[in-house]
Amino acid sequence: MRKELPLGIAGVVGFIVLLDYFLKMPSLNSLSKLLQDWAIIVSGFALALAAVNLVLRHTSILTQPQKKTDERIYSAFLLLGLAYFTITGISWGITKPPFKWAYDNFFSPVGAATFSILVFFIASAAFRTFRARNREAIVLLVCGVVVMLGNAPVGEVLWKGFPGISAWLMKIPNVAGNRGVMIGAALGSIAIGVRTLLGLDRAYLGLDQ
Amino acid sequence: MTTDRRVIYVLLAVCIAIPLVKPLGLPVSIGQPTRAYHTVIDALKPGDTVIMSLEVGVSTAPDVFPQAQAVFQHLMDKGVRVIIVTFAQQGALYTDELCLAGEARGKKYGTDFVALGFVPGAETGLAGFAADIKKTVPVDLRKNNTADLPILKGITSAADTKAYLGFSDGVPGPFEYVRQLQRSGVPILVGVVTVMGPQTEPYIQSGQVKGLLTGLRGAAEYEMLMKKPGAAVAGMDAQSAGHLLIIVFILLGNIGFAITRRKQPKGGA
Amino acid sequence: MTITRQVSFLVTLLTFILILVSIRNARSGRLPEIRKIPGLEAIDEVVGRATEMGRPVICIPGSGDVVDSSAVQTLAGLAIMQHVAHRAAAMGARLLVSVKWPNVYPLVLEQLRQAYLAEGKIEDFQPMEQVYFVTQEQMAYILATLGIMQREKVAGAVLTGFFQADSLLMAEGAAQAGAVTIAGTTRTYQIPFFVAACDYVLLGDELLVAGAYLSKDPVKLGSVQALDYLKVLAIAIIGIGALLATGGLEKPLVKLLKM
Repeated sequence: MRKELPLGIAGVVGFIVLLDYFLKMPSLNSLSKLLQDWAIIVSGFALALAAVNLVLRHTSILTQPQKKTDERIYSAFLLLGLAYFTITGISWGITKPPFKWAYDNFFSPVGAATFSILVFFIASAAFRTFRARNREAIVLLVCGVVVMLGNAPVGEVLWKGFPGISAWLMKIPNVAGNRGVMIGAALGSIAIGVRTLLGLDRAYLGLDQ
Repeated sequence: MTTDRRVIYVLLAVCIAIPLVKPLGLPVSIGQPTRAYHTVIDALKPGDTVIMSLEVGVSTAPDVFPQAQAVFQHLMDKGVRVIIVTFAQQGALYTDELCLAGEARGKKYGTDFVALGFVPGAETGLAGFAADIKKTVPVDLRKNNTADLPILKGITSAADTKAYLGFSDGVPGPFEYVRQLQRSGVPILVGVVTVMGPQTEPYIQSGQVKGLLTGLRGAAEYEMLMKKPGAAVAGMDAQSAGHLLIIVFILLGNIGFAITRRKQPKGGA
Repeated sequence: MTITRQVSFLVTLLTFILILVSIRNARSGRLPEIRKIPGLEAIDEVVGRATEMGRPVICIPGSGDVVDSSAVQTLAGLAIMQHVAHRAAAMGARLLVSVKWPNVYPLVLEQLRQAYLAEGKIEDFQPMEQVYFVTQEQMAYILATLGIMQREKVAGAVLTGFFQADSLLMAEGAAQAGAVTIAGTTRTYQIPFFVAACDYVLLGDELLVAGAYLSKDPVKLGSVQALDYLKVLAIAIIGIGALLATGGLEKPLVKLLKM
């Protein structure tokens, strides 16, 4: 029963939503809509669950004597931040100064700064990887350079043809390759979806076949 | 030949910073997907209603939010009414920033635009929202009942609007928009982070997406089309400098690689 | 039902039938063969290298959850992680796993526990020391994982699943720590970053068939075979469409199917 009940729920709900796409039956359509509304509510609870898990995890780090001091300081800081944003967000609202000030002055710059280290990692990865080792690597190198120059205004200043060639590369070879991978991945997802609907795949329950 | 990574990082930081302080004024040409986007928006009439969804976070906002700002400005100038929503946790504050921009232009919240806040569930949330807006979001970001808002009178689902403008840094993104909104028949316009541009091209070619803005460049092109160059255009010089430097690094790396390969003994021990 | 929906329904029905028939054939002993996938063959090499160097292997089953559209890739990544856990337990290599979502955390713990138990090394399994769950905030998760890779000096990294902006950061971070990296995702705009920064890459649906490839499970192998039939059908339709479009004859067909 422990295994069969969630499999049954997944199968029944999945088939209802799938059939709703094809059939125009008012009772089926409204049942499907109800199930999707429930899914939205469950997603909201999943966010709350994530917050609870975070609190439990970092509280346990704080209370474990064998953990290093700096780990406990970081966990304390995380819990402080979580408490601050939760209290100010609920009490004043997320668009009001206490929440927004901390978001704009702490959270936002840190997030943007972290994302910006991508540019340095891209530079070092490009420096390491774009080597003309063989024919395929040369094609990759040339296409990469042309698209970069087509994308940046300086490319057009260097030669007016770069944007046009870049656009052609994006529209023809890129779309062809992307379509192939997308279709393959979509079919793969369909297979996993069918197995899940039929109860043949139980990995999402943490069970082996 | 190896180079300390930190040398690359310092050079890159300097090259990107200089044009931000002292702009070079390089010209920005307009691509066809951006033109298509602009054409659809330009064809809207005063009083038309569109949906704008902002799936952005702090990390990707510099890439995508300028697009939303430029398009929102265009919509406000044309008198088009905008329903703003987000399916990303961090998107709600950016929707509020657009509202503040709208009010600064003398537009009225609840009549000319509205922010419906965050809808959880990603694609499932999008499906529910597209089917019944007021039922999925009974209260807006400013705690008003959506059933009482003038802008939502006569609007039940996405099919009742003239366009869906999605700005995404991941999920939900172009695939999800097409999957959930295609059957409603509403024209879909998409703004994405730069890395998602190539993968969204197939949808432009098939006509499922009517227009595409890609990264900061897309925002810059849109500002140029509106003849109101702003922060996005200013950022293009820094992007140019960064790209050029990375290309120089790649070429230097290849020269070093070629020299090293030539020095290695051919075959045998 | 519109013509378009009828066509979609027929294709969906065909998919179900093909998958069920292929699974039945596989279960009766007619197992299909999958070509060699270098990224999956390299798992033993990566784990073996880590064992010899006395350094750990890190597994990152992506930054996706199991309750949304990224679930398919996350589960595929977990299947690979379980195989890596089997090999790490067998060879005596230390395995670390970094998890982003709380829903994925219990699945990871359970799969690792099963792997170590199956190899008879359950006493080597230290969940609190091996499985890191820090936060679901993307940038914080990325930085925490980069810190783990640098501090532990991982010798191998297996990054398979749903990735977003973290793909290049994780891959390059692992490379800078000196690790041999295997990566895979179906998100086509992250694949180029993996190709640039990793030693082995699983492209597109190579990630999704990894579970079948590694486990040799008849159900999974059967559905992979059905996928191939569907791909042949897709190629045939694309070919016919391309020929019609080249001859300027696609409009009547499009009108017929009301597409």
